[in-house]
Amino acid sequence: MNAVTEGKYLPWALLSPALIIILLIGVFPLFYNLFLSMHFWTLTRPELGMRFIWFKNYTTLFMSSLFWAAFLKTVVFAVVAVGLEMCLGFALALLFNREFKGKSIFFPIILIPMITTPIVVGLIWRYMFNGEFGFVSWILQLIGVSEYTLLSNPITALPAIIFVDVWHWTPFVFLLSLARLAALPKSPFEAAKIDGASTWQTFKWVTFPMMKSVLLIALLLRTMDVFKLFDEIFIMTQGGPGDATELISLEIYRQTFRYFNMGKGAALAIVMLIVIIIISRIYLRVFQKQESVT
Amino acid sequence: MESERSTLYWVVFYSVIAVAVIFFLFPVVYLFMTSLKSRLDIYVMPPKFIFVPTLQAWIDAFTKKPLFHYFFNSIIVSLGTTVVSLVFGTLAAYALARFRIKGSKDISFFILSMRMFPPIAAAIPIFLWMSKLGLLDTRFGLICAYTVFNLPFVVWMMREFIIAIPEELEEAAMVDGLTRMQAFRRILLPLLRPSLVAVAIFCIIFSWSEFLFAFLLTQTEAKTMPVVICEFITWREVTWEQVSAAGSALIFPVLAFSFFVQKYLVRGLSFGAVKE
Repeated sequence: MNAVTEGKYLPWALLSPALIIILLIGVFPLFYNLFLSMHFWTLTRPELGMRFIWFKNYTTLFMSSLFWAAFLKTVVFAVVAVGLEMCLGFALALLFNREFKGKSIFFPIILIPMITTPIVVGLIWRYMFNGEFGFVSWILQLIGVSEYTLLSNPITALPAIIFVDVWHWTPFVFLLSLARLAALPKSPFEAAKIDGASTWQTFKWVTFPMMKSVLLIALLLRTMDVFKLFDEIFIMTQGGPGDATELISLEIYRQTFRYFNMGKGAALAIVMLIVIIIISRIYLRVFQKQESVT
Repeated sequence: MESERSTLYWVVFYSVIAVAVIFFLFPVVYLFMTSLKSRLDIYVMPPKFIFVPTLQAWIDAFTKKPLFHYFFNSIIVSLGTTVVSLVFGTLAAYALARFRIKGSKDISFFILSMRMFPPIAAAIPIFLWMSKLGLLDTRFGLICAYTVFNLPFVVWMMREFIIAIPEELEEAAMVDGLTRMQAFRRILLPLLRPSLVAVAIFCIIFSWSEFLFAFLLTQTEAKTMPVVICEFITWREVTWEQVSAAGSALIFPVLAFSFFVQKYLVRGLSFGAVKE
């Protein structure tokens, strides 16, 4: 093989195994979902078979209050949880962005929740929230809250799970922010100091503008993750009580793997996918802009 | 840093840090503590903090259920996925980093975007096909499913690492008579070793922790640890001390492994979007 043909075919030969796997097990299922979503297919009624019904799954979906409730809950969850994570994580990073004794010990400790397996996170907090012997319930009782079984109360279940998500993922925002803070150029800060800027002014006009892109990246990654969120909720409440914590991902699971309503579940998955694609497009654009800068 | 900071400043500063550290650390420690309690020490209110530690829960958890078997499954699946993703991913990354292919940037971003899709959206077709192919409840089936989610990560990370190594080294070797693939194997791969190890550890952590696919695609034989833990907990009578032991056993390796990739954590978790 001479150099010319090698340069032409070799890269594709190297790429093809990875691309084939991704297309076959990654992309193809998504298209198959599209196909499924336009069919009526219920595994519990095999005699009815698989019928093409155009967009009927989608119209019933958009008409059902259950879908909108799940959608709304997911959005609320995303806004509140990610908002809190951003604020807390960034604030903590600002706090850590200086030299102090014990920093090298405290830093990895704060990262622990983020590394902990999601299923174990759910397990820990289900235990902590337990009404009879849970730690959180005990604290709540101590300060005189009468509704201390958070997970079995439809009103408090969602906030409790948001709290868990904040515990789990604030370290992620913290880590990204701190890494960026540490890498910021020094000269703008020196200039601000010479100009006599106050701490707040320095933050507002120097630090924050330079941190914007990394915060945006963290925000988008976290938002996409909220749509994927499944394990923790599944182990803590399974979407209950009632459907108080039934986010879209759990609704997909319920439709397909509990009611065996393949068409409906697929339609839901497609709707969710569209949302994710929109967010990921924005993410990639931010990302590419950054790539061209550095 | 500045010596004029008052004592009050440091008192407030350290109190805030202490609250944060306790908040993030306590739940995990509490889990571990629970695994060392006896049954009687668990089902009480208020929770006990001083108790006689016992290993009974660990012994029970590992003897009453075939946990070793599931642990073994987890290890096989994690390692299998990691090897497959690493081999194919590195080759693809090399092609994307070193050749001028039309649209190589688009291919890279396409691969990256695969990583962002919610697994549950692909779960239905994968489940249906695997049941048709008889791959349900096999470790091989799980490895296939996980590879799709690890490959994009490997390709993207390795591409970055390869770009960071000057191409001249390989070119010089090729002038000396090595073919391209020989240069790749003898010159580039040894230089990439630390990066490969870091990426491998990430793959192991991802696969080790994965729950959804393991839960949907396995029933008895190929179950991995997260699924077993979930089953532990949905039984009517939850044996918290045993669940805690199993949970601790699950996260220990992850915490230990993460320690080794600490300095790659930022890059790994933001796909290199955040430069340090």
